[in-house]
Amino acid sequence: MSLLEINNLSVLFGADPHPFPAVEGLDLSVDQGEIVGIAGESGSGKSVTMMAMMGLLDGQGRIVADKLQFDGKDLLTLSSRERRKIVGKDISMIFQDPMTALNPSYTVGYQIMEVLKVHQHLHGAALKQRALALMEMVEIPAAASRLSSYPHQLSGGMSQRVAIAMAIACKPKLLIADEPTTALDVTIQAQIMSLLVDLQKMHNMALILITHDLAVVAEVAQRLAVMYAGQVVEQGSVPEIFRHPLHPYTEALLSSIPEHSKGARRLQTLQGIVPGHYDRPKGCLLAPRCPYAVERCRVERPELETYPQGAARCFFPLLDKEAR
Amino acid sequence: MTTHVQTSADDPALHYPSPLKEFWQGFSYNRGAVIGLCFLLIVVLAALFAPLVAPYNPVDQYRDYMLTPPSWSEGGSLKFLLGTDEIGRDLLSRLIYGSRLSLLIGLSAVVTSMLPGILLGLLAAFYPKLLGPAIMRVMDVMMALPSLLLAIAIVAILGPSMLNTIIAIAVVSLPGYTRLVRASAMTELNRDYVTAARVAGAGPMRLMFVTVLPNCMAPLIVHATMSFSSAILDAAALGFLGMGVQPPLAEWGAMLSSARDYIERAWWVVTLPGLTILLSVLAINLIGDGLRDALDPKLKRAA
Repeated sequence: MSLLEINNLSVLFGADPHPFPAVEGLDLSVDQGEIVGIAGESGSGKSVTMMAMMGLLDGQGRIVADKLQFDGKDLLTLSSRERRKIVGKDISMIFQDPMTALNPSYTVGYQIMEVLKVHQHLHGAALKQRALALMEMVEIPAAASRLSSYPHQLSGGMSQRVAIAMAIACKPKLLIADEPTTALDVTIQAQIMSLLVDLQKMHNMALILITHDLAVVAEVAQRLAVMYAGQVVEQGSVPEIFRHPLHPYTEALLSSIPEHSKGARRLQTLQGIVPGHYDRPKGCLLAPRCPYAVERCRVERPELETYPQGAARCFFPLLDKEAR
Repeated sequence: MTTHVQTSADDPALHYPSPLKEFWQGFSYNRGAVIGLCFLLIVVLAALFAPLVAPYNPVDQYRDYMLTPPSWSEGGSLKFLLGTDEIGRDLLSRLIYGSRLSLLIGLSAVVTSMLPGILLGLLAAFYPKLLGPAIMRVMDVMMALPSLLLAIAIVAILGPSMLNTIIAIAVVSLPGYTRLVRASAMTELNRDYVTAARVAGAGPMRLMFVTVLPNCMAPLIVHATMSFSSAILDAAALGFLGMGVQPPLAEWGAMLSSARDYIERAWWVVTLPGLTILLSVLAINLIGDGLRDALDPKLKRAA
């Protein structure tokens, strides 16, 4: 059984006659100790999915799902008190901007110890020792003295390390990293990524890596789900997707990686933006931007079909590119 | 070169200035604020040690010395440094005892409006669907009434006394706190650390008071300082209208009001209480400015 199983999850915002589906019919499963990437451009519903899964949308959006199960427990029917107990202990999250992910009013040490106090009931010397061990685990130099520093006294990379320390404090079964390296500079990015992967292996956690940087996914993840406008458009194992993308959107994403355009050629881009509330196409959501779109794409919406290489939501998957 | 240079890089965190020191650096950068603080300290000390500092009892009447001018002017007497009022009470003593009342009214009005204001503001920010708009509409109604008029109405209903003055001023300044706390809590609520706290399983109470509230404190402290001075002003205004502290208690506003009839014959009975109010309010506002400089990172060193 998978650690996390999401079946047919939809998140709807707005009033009933025309609600806006930020997430639509999403399936995702994550096994213990697995790294799954979720990629897609801004506004494709990556973060909303995770918030909905943890029940943090606060009645702003309506959550509809056939199955939303974490570690054998149904997250849909839990009361908020029970959910807080599970989510707080077994699921953790790392955020994009480390400068706002730490509470500016408290010292770093206090914030780490607060988590430990509440969820692991540690006190006194044991508490302090564990906090120190965590700080050392995320490779913070001079950890002992940094426990008493405030977040604004730390650099971005250092803050992100502290945020990671807080996230793994309770040895979670699932760690969600929401663009953990986007706000950091390149050298720090590499360090943080390798730290995350090391910790993931050490604790045998499942790691969901939300990103729009496919290069990051390629290096560490085993499986990848590509999201577009609230739908998973392609899902599969990382090497397969990178070698033979099935969906035109994945192909476009891959070709827009800077490393792919050699020499002085312009970077490949996909025209247009993700459809919003008022310009949501009737047919395939990518149809207005897709270079291969035909009439059928504009009137009919494709389902997620399974192919030997993976799954894709397209009438004309790029199974054999040359044949086109 | 064999000298070994000792670097302090081994333990950089130990060299961070303490928050208190950082605060004082920001505050003392503003010279007006420091002057204001000095003046306020004098007023506070005078209020605390009024029986020791004041030369006379503020309600004792010296019938032989009615409307004696201040000692430095013609006809003044060294017995009464700042002169006497219309029934021969020593003006200096009354001003000193008056500072007790003014500070007390200001402080208690601030506390009694800040605490419910914080609570209402946090509730309004955390429950934006029903409770929030309900609270804010009530606050809008309160703000739509001229504040002094509302205060007068409250005192008129409850009856003039010091306690009712405090209640009236607290009610009048409640919407300011509520709006301020709601606004800053709503900005803070969108920050990742709040989401992080919720992922970590923090309940609504912890989120409100432990996670979010400390981060709203900076503007709140500044506002509290400013409304401390406006509470003193309001109390003086109510006193002047005869709706505040009742005679024979010495209160600055009431002193102004009772001296109104002598404004042409004895300038000091009107001027000195007025000047005291002016200077105290100015000092507190200057302190508020300094606090804003020290607490609000956006304005730091901007001017």
